[in-house]
Amino acid sequence: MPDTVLSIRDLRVYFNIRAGTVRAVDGVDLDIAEGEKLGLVGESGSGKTTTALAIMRMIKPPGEIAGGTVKLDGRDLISLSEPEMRSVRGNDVAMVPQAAMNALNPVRRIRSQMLDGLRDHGINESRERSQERLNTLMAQVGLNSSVLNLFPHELSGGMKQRVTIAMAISHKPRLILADEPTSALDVVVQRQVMETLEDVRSEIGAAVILVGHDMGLMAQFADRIGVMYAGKLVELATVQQIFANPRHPYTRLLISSLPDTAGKRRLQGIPGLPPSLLAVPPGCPFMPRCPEAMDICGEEVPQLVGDPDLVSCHLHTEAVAA
Amino acid sequence: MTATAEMTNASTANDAPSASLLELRNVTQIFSSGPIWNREHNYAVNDVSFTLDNNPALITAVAGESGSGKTTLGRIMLGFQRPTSGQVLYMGNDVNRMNSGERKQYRRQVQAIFQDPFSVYNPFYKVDHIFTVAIARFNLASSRDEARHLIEEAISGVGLRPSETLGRYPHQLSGGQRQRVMVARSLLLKPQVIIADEPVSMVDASLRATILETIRTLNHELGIAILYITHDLTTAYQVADNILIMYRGHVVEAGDVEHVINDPQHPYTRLLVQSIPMPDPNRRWIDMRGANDPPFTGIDVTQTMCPFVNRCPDAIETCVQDVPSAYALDQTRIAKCFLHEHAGAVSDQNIASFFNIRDSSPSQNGAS
Repeated sequence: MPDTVLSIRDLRVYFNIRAGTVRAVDGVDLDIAEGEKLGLVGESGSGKTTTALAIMRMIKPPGEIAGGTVKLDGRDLISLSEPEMRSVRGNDVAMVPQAAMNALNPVRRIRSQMLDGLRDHGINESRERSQERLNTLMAQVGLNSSVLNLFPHELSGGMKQRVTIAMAISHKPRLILADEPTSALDVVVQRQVMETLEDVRSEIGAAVILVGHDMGLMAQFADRIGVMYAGKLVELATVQQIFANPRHPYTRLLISSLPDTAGKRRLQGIPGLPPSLLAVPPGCPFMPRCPEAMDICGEEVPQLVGDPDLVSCHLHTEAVAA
Repeated sequence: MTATAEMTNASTANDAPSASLLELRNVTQIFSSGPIWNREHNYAVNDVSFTLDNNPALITAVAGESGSGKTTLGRIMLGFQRPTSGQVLYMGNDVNRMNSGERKQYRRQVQAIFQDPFSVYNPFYKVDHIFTVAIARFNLASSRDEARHLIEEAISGVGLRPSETLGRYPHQLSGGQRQRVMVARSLLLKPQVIIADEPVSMVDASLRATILETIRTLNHELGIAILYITHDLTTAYQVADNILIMYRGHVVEAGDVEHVINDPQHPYTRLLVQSIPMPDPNRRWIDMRGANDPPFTGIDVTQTMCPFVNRCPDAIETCVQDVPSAYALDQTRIAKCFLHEHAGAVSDQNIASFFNIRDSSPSQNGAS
């Protein structure tokens, strides 16, 4: 059994706005093993990105981490001072952002932006040594080192995303958070970038949390998948289990709404909209949209139960207990 | 309806009797950049001919990566872009030589749905605005009540509730709702053609199905011809009857969607199909990686070569010496690749002559 890298307990992220408190992440428990690839899926507003940002302690006001612990190798990140947290970011936990074009400074060459990242984390070395280091990083993500001399606008979307991956791995982090890293790219480039991410990940042995809404991409990449809905994890299971035997009706609908190329069929969306996080209805938050809702679903919040695969749905309480 | 009939008569008078709805004839679009002594010419669309017809109305997908020219093709068909050479004909009339009356008619009959459901709205106006402007512009209603009725009908037609949609500002609607309102706006004008450029790429996966299903309904039930521009082959497969695969301005493969996607013949189409993230953890990309670089990796591709030669795993010497023409593989498929030279070059350049015509029985969408 590999060691646990990250252990999240009862994480809560609330946004206090004039209209009330938005419970964007509401009691998430999650363990990630060393070198594991976890996919975090859900619709817009389900809390998947907020969870990733909370691990980095990058929640901006009016949002705040209202409770819980996030332990990285046993050390609680929530209780660290800001300077301590600064050294964790990049060194131990790194992020590959969604929109690479916004993550790079448009008026500076790639080289100087990458050097910034190194110096900021205490790597002060000779020009030759750091040049060598940058060349190695570029080779790792499949880019020619001449790219270092270019400005971001001279790179294609896929190249920019590779640069951000190179930045993320430059300190050999324990955990990489990738927030929809390929949503702006087309399919062929998406595949290349995901393969690059997998290559560098296995090289440095980091764990990855891949945030996204594309179940197809998750099937290609993840070992385990966590499905989020209205700020809560509703199912957490191995990728094989999720696709062969999805237990939560929401997971099932997410998978069946995917178009495929094995025969034309009527495309099915998920009817309705997620609940307002200002006032989540009592009971199961998915109940209003659930095709299998029962009386109890409107009264009682289902618990996330099972071993090792978890689900929170009243349809599955007996099955798990048995 | 009378307007349409008039247009048909007008066009039969000065053109062939069977003028198609919207036709591209040898359209080429070149974008030039760089200083004049070292001008670079980029062929966004390279000699493309095809027809969108509504007899029967079909859904045609255009797929390819960024920079393949698929959006430019759509813009040319919408009349936003005058091609460098070639003609765009609406009912037999050249779109770039129309008088204002004809042009207005064309603008009404050929509608667009764009990728970004955020930037098409003016945030200061309620969503009703995009409907009222269209109604005023084309004199669709003679009274306020009639206008209201038309708007509500269009909104219901895309599966939204008028009471929950009208009177709101764009930011109060979700991305999926906003995109469906755009579809409703098109529907209001009862067009003959809708050109939808990546209509679902910015929408959550769970809402995509709903929007695509709406587009399919417009085609099947109202007989609107649809050009669906996308980089996503799975949605193209589900929605379209026929597909054009574009690469650097060339239509490299085209035909019946079932054959093109499940039995691709051009190496580029094969690459696209292999890159689809299949929702099956037992069929992963990582286990299917090719070991070797393509034979002509790194070559400087010129206008006298196959455009795909530098990335093609199957490239041969011929591919760097000449540009392949379109070869007819069978009655419903063409491919621009020397591997298929033995099949013989096509006689009719119009790609649509290779399209599979769907059974016109209207309710095929329920089949599974």
